[in-house]
Amino acid sequence: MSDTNAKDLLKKYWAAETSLGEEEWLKKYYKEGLLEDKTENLLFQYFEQERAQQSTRSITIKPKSNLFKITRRRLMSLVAAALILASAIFVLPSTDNHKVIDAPDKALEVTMIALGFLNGSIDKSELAVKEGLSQFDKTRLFTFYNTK
Amino acid sequence: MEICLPYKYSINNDMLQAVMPIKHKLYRYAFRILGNQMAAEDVVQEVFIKVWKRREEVKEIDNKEAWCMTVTRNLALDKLRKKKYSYEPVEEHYAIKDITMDPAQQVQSNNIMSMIKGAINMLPNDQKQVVHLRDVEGYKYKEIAEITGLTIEKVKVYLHRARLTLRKQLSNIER
Repeated sequence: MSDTNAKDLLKKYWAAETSLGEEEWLKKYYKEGLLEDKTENLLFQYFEQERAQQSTRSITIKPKSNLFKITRRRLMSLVAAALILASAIFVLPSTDNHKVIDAPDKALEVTMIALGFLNGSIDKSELAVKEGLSQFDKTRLFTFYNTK
Repeated sequence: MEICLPYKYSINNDMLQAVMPIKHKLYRYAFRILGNQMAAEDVVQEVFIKVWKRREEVKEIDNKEAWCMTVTRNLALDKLRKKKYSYEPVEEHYAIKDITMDPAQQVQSNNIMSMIKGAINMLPNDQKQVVHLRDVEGYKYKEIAEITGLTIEKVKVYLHRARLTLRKQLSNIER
């Protein structure tokens, strides 16, 4: 093919009307330096250099570990564990809140108050027991007269 | 080219071996979209992981190369949107090393080459991709359409517009 044909083909190339075969031929023709058009020559060289670029990294395929995959069941277990831990930290110490009082007077005062509460509770209990016993006596009398 | 697989799978990796020859094509395409070597390498790695995970499905695909190129495009565009990397021009790839040229000619050629590269990079993303797939990788219009998800007509239009722009830019360089 002559230079004229190559130039015609180049026009077709710029108009995006060339086939793949024609484009390959054109690139080869320019590569061999058969045409003087320097910029087109460099454009085709650029494409060739692009084609020569290669990836240098090797491919490594590792299946992802399921260790950190949170399933519903695992999530429930985690929540349960967190609740147990939280209760161990915040709830249990509150049941063990006895304070040690060093001053004897203060200790006596607090003990008296505590005994006072206890006394009140015993009085209430005694009253309740008395009421219960009187109810019991009434019931016994009632059954005694009714069975006669 | 090398693939590192977990031991228990290393025997049955025919699928990956079939896709392996296009590794560099995938890399170049990702690089063309992202303009960053590391990011492009990451994309290729992700493509192979995807192929591996979906190997049963991929086995049934007729044009595996086009499928892989599409996956590459999608992953690269996704990365481009997230912009988790920096653009890194790789000038040394385009240096002209012609022993028949004197140093002045070489400098001039390298300058033109940089301008060509700049002109291509200035193209809109779709046009840039079409030019790459046609002029660098030598795909047919139908294949380009399949890879990019464009119609064949649109591929032709984009290529036409891209070449018009490039021709205009090149004529400016010549002056």
